[in-house]
Amino acid sequence: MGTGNSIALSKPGEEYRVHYLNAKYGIKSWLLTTDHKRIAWLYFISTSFFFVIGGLAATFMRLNLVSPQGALVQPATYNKLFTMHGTIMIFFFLAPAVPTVLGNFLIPMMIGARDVAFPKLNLLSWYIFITAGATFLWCAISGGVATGWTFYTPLSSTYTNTHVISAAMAVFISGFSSILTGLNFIVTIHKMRAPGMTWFRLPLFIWALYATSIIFILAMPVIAITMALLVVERIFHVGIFDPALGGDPVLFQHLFWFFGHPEVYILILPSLGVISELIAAFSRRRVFGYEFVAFSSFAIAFISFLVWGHHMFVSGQSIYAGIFFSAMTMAVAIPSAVKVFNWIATLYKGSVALDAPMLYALGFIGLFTIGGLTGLYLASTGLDIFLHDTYFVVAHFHYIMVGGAIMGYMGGLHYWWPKMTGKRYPEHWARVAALIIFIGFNLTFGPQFILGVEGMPRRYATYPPKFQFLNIMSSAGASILAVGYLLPAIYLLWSIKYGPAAGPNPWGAKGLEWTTASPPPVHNFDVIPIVTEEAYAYGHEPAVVGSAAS
Amino acid sequence: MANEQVTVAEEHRGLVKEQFDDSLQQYQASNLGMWLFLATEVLFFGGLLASLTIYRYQYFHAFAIGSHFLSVFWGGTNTAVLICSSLTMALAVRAAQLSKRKDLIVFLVFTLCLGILFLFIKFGEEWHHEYLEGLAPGVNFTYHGPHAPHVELFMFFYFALTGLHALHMIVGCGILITLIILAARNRFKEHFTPVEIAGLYWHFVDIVWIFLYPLLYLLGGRFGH
Amino acid sequence: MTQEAPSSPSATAGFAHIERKRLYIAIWITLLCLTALTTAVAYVDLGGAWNTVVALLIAVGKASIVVLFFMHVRHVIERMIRVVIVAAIFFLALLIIITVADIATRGMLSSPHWLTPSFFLW
Repeated sequence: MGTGNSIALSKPGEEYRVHYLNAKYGIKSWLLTTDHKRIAWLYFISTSFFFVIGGLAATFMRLNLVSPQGALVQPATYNKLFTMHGTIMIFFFLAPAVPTVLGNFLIPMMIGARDVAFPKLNLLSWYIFITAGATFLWCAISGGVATGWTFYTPLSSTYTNTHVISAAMAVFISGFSSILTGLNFIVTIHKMRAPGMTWFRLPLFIWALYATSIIFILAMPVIAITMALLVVERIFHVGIFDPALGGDPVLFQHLFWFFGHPEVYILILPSLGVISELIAAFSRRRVFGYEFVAFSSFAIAFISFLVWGHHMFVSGQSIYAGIFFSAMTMAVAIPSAVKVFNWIATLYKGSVALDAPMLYALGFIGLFTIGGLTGLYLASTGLDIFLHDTYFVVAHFHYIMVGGAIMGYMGGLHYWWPKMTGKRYPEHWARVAALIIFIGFNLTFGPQFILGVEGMPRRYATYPPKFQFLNIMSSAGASILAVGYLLPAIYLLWSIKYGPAAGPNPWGAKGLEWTTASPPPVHNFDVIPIVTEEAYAYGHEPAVVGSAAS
Repeated sequence: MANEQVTVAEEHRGLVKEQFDDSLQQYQASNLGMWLFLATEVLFFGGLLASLTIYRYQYFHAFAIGSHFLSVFWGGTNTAVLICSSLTMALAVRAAQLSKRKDLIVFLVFTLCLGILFLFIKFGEEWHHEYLEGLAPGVNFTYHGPHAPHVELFMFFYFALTGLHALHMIVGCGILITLIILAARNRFKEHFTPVEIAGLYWHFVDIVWIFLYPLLYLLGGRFGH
Repeated sequence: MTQEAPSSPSATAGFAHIERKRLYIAIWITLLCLTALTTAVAYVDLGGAWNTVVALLIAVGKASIVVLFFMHVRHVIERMIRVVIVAAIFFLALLIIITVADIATRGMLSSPHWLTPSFFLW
């Protein structure tokens, strides 16, 4: 241990090999790269940065809620904190994280291509993303914004005196980054597959990212134009959404949630794809009902465009629209359940290996199920009137966003880390971290379900003293969760320098990305592979985990 | 096979990017990419069109009043101008497909001129006039007749939609200028994909106007006024 | 002047269909005529919402012509492109129709007379 640093190229027994990380050196070779693998790293660094910022905002919120009067900040500051937390986490961490880090790195590798279809466009997406992120940080530094991540009018257009315009512009710009990424992915998956890589031989992660990209293409432009309208209304005081000037604030909500609900599936769909990969690899079985799992991604993407009004049950929306949206929301449960049941069927009689990525995957299944089922409570129009804008909603979507999307991201990151860096991380620490995250997460958000049912509204800096016990429990859980996230940050970084070499296929997994060296060569494959077998063509060999040979 | 020769020729000249196997794959990928971008554009304009539909449905009379302030003559003229530019663009793509460099440049220049004419009519004639009339919401709006707030709403959508469209026209003109320069340098010899992609964009902008013309200028009919 | 036949041995025509010039001109004239028609119809009172319906139908017709001929979708080799077009129109329609449906039914606070519990029982 400890010798695997940059001198490793002269280490006996390990031949010097040119790969994408050492092919070129210098900051310019990174900032002007068109290599999808390097762009994935650019995204990894920038989204991780935003995750830290968004996490800090959450930390301050949880600290403040330790005391009923608000332990730390003024209510106005608290409003800015939760807006910053929501906006950053959704637009600058969750939406880009899995598609642009794992997706960018893996799509060409998994389908057997040298790069994505439009490498320059790929780099441009990152620069647009950075511009958007910088705009939002500028907004935060110049005083912040206090509208919630939803920017509801007329609060955002007329009443608040915080920095709505720069925040809206940041969201506007970030939309185009996602659009270009989605466009690039769809064309890549369509046109760049290796010979023999038919649609039904594609890994399920690719199917999931394809569905995600469709949502990018169709939903992101709507939020862009909505944010532009909001900015125009705020600057010129024309009554697009202002009832005092003849506008309709509920129209803003329609436009926002036409984007906003599909956006939620942008966050979770890629992680659903990651979980399919992990479950197959660590139970050594082909995913049960491959076609159903593949098409359920598309079903989720499609239905996600028909459910947006379930955010508006108490906004003065027509009751008939409410009935329609409620029924459609129930329908999303079907493809989601198809996935969960098929994963469980895959585990059945599989050679299950409980490595760190698999721990995340198993945690995901449980948390995603809880998050999904509580979503059905909220989809019932009658019950939603009672639960709307309470902590029940907060707990519900955090079970999907953190318990689902981030668990999937962490699992995927651990699974493909040896491929990305060529190094192995300390497995024991990783298992401990996965366990801490699971426990910390449930302690943080479990109590919030109860708080919500007891009637604690969301987005307030203070609360009646009777809620204090559960709030302290939640804050304590959050600190455990923070430790859980800090651990991987330490040992993953450590492994880049000191980790043992991983070899091409440390998990003994199937898939084209494992047939090439780790880290991969600049053009991914020395020879473009010809695919002759199905995805996840695991025989009945026992799970041998940890052997670096292949 | 002529095809294979072309493929070899394009690869030899570095026209096939390294991530692609051959020029056919590159051609199909670029085409599909452009169409996906246009799908995005449909939804981008779609947010505005949906809002317009909602308000038009609710404030039909106010919107008709607003619509009658617009000049059908200039709107119709501009529609014709854009249709002509679509023809010249289609002919430019055809010239590129046939590797006729002179025709390509001539048709591209025609298209550019028509595009600039459109923008000139839009800004110089229409917007200027409407601004002076006091019909520019948020800037100079002096109409105080019946349904004034909702007439202002209509005028906002007029400016927003035609403005967004004009922005796309300006981008399109920039693309045309680039194409003309590259064509002059003979960069499209046996390699017409960029011209075809630009053509798709230009035709799409034309289609947007085909819808904006009736939706804004002819709204609710022109009879009896 | 002789027209190049679509099958002329053009070097790059390998994967793109080349239309006749004559066809483009015919399309151009059609589009101009439809523009004149839609303008003329606006000055005739067709009653009710029919003016809007006719204007939109003509616009859809013009747009389809542009897409099929000028944008080469008639001969496109990548079938996925047709899916993309239909998807874009479909989701735009979803956005508009569902939002309008909300606005149109927002005032209806009591259920319609036929919607009684027995409605669900037969």
